[in-house]
Amino acid sequence: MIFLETVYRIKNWFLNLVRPGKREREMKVEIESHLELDKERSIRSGMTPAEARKISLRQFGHVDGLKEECRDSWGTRVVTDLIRDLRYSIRSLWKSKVFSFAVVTTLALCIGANTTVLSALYSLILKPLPVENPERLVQLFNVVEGRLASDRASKSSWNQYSELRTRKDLFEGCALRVRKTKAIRRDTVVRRLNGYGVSSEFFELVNAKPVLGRFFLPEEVDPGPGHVVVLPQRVWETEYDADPNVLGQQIHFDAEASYAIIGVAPRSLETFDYESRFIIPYHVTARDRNPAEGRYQAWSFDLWLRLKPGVSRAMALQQIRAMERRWYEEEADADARNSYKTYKDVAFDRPHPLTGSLYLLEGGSLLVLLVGCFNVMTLIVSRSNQRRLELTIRSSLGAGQSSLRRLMLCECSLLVAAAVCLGMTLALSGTYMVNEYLSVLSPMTVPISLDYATLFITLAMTIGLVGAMGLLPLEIFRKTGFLERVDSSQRTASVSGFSRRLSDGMVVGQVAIAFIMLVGAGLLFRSFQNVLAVDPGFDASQIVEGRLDWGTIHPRYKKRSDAAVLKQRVHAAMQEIPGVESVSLSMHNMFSADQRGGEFVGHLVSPEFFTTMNMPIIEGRGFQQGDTDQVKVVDELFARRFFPDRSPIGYEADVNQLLASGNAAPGIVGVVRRANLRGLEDRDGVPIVYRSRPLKDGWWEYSIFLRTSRPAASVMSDMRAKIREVDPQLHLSYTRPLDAALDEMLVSRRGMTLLLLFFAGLALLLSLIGVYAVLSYDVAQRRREIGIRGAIGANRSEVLGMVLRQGASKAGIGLALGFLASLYLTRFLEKQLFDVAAVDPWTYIVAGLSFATVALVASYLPARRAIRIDPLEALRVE
Amino acid sequence: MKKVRKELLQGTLDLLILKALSTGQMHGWDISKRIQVVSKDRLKLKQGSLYPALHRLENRDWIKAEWGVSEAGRSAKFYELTKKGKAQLQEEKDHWLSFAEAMASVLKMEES
Repeated sequence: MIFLETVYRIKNWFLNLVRPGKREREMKVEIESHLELDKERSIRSGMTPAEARKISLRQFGHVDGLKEECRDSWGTRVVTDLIRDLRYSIRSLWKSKVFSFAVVTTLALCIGANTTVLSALYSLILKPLPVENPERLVQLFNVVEGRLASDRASKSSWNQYSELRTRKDLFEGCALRVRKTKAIRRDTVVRRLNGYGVSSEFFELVNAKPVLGRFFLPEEVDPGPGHVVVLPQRVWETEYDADPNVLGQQIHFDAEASYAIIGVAPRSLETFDYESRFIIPYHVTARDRNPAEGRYQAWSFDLWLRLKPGVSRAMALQQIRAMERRWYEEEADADARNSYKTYKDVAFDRPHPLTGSLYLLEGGSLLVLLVGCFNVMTLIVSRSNQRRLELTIRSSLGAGQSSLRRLMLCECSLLVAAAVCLGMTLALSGTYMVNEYLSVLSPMTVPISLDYATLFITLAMTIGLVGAMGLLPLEIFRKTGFLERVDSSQRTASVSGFSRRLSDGMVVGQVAIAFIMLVGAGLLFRSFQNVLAVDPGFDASQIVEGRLDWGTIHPRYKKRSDAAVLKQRVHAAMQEIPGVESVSLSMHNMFSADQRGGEFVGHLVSPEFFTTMNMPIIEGRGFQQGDTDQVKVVDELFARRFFPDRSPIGYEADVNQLLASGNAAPGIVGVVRRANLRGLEDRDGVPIVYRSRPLKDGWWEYSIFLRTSRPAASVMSDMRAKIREVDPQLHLSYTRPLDAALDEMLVSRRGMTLLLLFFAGLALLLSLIGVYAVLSYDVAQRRREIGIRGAIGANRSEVLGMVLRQGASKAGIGLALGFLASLYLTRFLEKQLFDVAAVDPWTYIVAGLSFATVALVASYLPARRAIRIDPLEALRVE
Repeated sequence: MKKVRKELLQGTLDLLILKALSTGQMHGWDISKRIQVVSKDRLKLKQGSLYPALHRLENRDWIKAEWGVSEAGRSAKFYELTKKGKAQLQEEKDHWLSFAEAMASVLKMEES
């Protein structure tokens, strides 16, 4: 009953709203019929019709006022008022298109940039892991010296896992996860799939429940080998059409037993590895178990630990350190002790490689937002000043503070709403672009998306903006009390010192921030140039790399001697490819920063390596056929660092022995030019010691480098074909031209530099608009004054100078503030800089000069308008 | 002659309208006349001020309206009490009477 009534009333209310005409007509008829009845009554008592009408009207009261009261009682007032305000606002915004366009674009760009960067920051770094009590789930890393700054920590070893899983006093659970690659072959097409192996505790540790089927039983993992596989939900849905009968189906990995599908893992596991296509049990190998090699060299495991309630991170770390110490003192042999030297510490949580860049971008986009807000405020204040007359008239006709406020808020809401729509579109395309980049930069991470957290922040920001934008001008007017007075000087006099000081302050702020951003972006740009200018030390332009992995070779060539034969056949086959000038092999792949570092890194290569790479020998000789693996060639950096004042030739490149000095072993035979095999930014990083490995030694995995003048694409397909000729069961895990690979290493720096340049450009443009708007407004306000000056003899250059000086003083103060702030703030950039000091005079000078030019242009336009003011015209307005 | 204040006390207009309508369906002009007659012209109200009140009561569902033809042959909007309106009238009447009684007794006591 109550329900029906409510529906009825809502229907009525709605009808009133959409058909105000009907109600309006009815009211008119009703009142008219009342007046007529009254009139007839009076006529009957002997009055003339005109008199009767007059009396009726007098008795009835103020008809229009009463109609208004009736309308009030319909309950639709709020909405009709709103619609009226909206219509008025749209008209008035449409009239000042330039203003509206400037505000909407500025805000949209700021909102778009901020939302995108914030989403990336949140998705990649701040978002907690999708597990219960994420603060208690930690990953263990080993910290070593001599790595690139972004990669100072490394993964864990199997020995650490097996020791920590017994520490029930510290941890509730402990699981390991290791990346695996498997191939599926169909005729000549080989598809390589990424996935990972886990210990049986993994799923429970991260609170994953199977979507279908079950997860691994302990005995399938250890002792194993359980040939079972769990599919991630995404794979199950996209490749198996979410078929519930998938359980029990077999997957045939190349050259291996087939695996039975036993379950489907939920999407929450994507956080750990987005790219994974399968999850299998991890079977421990003898190499993992070997304490000397395993403990400090085979760091390939993600080791996850769940702290017991009450155990703090610091406490757990301390215990793990003690454990490592004990192992070193009681169990480590000489080899392990040697490795231990570079070993520094253990840590939980490694910073995401993009953390630094993302925080930098977040800072940048926040600064842009600040500039944008200042800019919009300046525009709004100067527009409101122009609208004083209109507002005054409204106010004197009876519009109260609240209705003026409602009107202003309505206009601002429209502007901000348009800006948010546009900004969100920008943010969506922004995240799309970021994801494109992300698949190169950090392929295992889940693509970023706009989520509730960022949307909420945007919403809050929007409401704040509307409030500030709408209420600030009214607040200024209220403070100066101008709405109460309407006088003759209204049209020409400035509103108040206060609003002028406010806009001046905002312009100065914009200039200062834009300058800071310009300096920051400039420093990064210089760094990028410097990185590009680094000589890689080898000729990457005509080299193609192909990789044969352990996982491919080992299952088919279990004996080392067989592998050696294979290697020789591969080498010979490669030389048969037409147009190949030189072939060499290297155990390490290029540009992998994943290799462990110490005082130096070793690089096992075949004797022709330096020829293929075009690396000149500086001193001594290169490798020759028949050199044993004790023969070493060091790079320039090694020679400079460890033998600053003598030749390294004849010494032993083992650091221990080096320090002890002098050893009869053949040792170092030559010095080769420094090649930045770990990327251009590693120029001053870790020296490389090359060791010769003759072809007759069997290796389980290696890269093949071909120097050729033919196009890379055709050579790469020839390489694959040749490998199939050698053994149809083998395949290359990847082929790539080296110059492209070198370029790919710069993606992150290039992206960050471009984005910050874009932000800085945006800030510069906005501050330019700000200077222009304030000066234009100023000139318009001072029309009369300038006219008088002209009338009493000021010439054009004096007027021009007056306006330009004003612009220059604002820009000057802004630049000075920006300069001081930059001196302090650029220190946060230092990690990202390459060969540039944080206080790089050139960058500051160029930024300062470009700003001066821009400020001059921005003030010249209003200045030109000022000198065109005709004194007669200006004074006639009075 | 006793001087009666001509403005109505706030909120009493609604009660007067409800009371007037309790005798049956009538249109706006009738209501105003009826209030005048019954109050012996002591309660003078601007006839127009009736309409906002009528619309308000209609919106509250205390009265409902339908279009009809007045005795003079014009189309007019006739109002009548709804069930809710009748209950409301009763409640307000009781409230008002007891309030008036209380006021009266207080005021009389002071005089004596």
